[in-house]
Amino acid sequence: MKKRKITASGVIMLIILLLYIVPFYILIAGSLKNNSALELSPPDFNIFRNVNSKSYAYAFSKLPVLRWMTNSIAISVLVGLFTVFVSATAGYALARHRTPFFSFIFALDIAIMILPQTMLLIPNYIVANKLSLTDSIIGVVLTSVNPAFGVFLCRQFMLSLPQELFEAAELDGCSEMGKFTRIAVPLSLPAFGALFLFSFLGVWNDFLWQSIMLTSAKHMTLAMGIETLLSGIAMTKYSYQFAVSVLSVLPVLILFFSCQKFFIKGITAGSVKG
Amino acid sequence: MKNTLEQPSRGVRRTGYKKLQRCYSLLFLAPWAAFFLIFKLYPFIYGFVISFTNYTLKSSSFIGLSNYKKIFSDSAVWSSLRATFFYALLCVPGTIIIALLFSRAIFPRSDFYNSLSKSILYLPSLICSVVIVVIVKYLFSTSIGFLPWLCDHLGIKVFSVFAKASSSIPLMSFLIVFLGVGQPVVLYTAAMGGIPSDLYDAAAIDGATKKQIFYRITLPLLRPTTTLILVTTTIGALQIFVYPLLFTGGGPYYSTSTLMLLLYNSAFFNGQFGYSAAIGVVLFVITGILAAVQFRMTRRDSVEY
Repeated sequence: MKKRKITASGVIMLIILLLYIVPFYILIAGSLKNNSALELSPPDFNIFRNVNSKSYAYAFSKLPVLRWMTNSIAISVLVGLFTVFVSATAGYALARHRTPFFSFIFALDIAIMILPQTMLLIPNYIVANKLSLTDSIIGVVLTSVNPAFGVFLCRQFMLSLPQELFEAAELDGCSEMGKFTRIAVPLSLPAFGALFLFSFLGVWNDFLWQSIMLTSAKHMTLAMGIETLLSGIAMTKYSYQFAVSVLSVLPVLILFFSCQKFFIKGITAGSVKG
Repeated sequence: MKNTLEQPSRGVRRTGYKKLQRCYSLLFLAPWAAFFLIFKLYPFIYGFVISFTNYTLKSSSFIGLSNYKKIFSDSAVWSSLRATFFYALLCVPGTIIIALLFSRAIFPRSDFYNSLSKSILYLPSLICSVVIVVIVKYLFSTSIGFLPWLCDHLGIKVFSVFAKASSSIPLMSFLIVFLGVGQPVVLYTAAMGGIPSDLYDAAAIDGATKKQIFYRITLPLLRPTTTLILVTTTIGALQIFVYPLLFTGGGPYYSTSTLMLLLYNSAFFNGQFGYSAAIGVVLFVITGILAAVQFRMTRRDSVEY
């Protein structure tokens, strides 16, 4: 039995955990305040008085926030779907066959997973440029799909499915395609869910690649939009920056707390013994 | 297709069927293969090729090793390299020590506390780094709000944290360590959960202290996890980019710039894609060597259980 004892390390940890919440509180409280409240010394973060939604009204009326959000959602959802599709098909093939050829493909996949993406930044941009994928939503989607981890995850997951199911289906005359769509896919939905979440978030929070690829204002994403607020007229209007930031953070928080199990499972997938 | 299935001999039919299965599987691999070839393998090779050219999107010609010669004489490269290692030296050991301390504090507690703390520690990893920049820039603004108030209370003069590398690099590393510690903590606590409890029981019977148990049992058994975290955070630290770009722009005089930021600036501000690709190759080689050394060092005498 574990004893509940109040120890020094326990108390310190509790304080640290509270400190982790503080930035979120500052962000949300600050977005509900007037800009002048944030400029006070000390700044006023009391959410029980002088709270208003002026910053949000400004964001939605004066800034193309809706467009930024639509672009971000479209890109992230499409990348998520593409990643799941590519990973599921390849993962299935790698789980079903273990000839040297398929093992080699799997090793290649692991190699890309470890390979730092830095080195690919410039050549990837040049390839995208040659294929006229720059400054287009579809172009960003196609170049942001990174199925390396997904293939690994799907293969491991599908390997853990009972082989008897596939053998039984084979005896009943199920086609290869049927085995995939009727057995492997429905049973692997938890893995697909985790994978979709991870790719969605990766792209939702991505800033570097999107800012390189997308140049015209109509294609701007939320992360890029917030970055433009850091300079120019909005530079000292912190409450506006906070409001738009909340619009980027809030969907993530909702997703995280409603699908927490997927996240923790996804992080440890394949990295823990046993 | 039908014919293969209706072969009279059973053996032939089986091999025919297996072959058919493999053909289908190749079909299943096709989308991945397309992505792999177009966006991974080709760019990987192409990156080496253009590092020997003066590629500028409009023109390109072979210039041999000139880019690499230029890298060795470019003071911006040396400053950025120094800064990159400064970040890595703070971030990599920092992440491992903080993750271990946090995991050690969280793990023995109740399941509820355990999963709640993991969630809280993981939250910042889910946030767009630009949003972190927004909050921190506000908190460290020299003219308004929090920092002037704090400095006033402490009785010191208001200073700009981002004006000097000696204060901005530690601050950015602090952010990277504490906001990125969620994943290592999840990995460490999961690994701690995998250590058989009889080892602890045996140690307790032998009269080992808590400290001894941690250093003699837990730590050695966490070695595979430590290796994983060590290598991934090293690779991550060598690619630090967004914070220096948005906080300091790499300045003053490249003292906070990373190689990654220099690579970005050479390509997308100066248009020198060839030179930039060469920096990419150098960074790749540095990363590869460090990762290999780390694997080697931590691999030996790893403990099985």
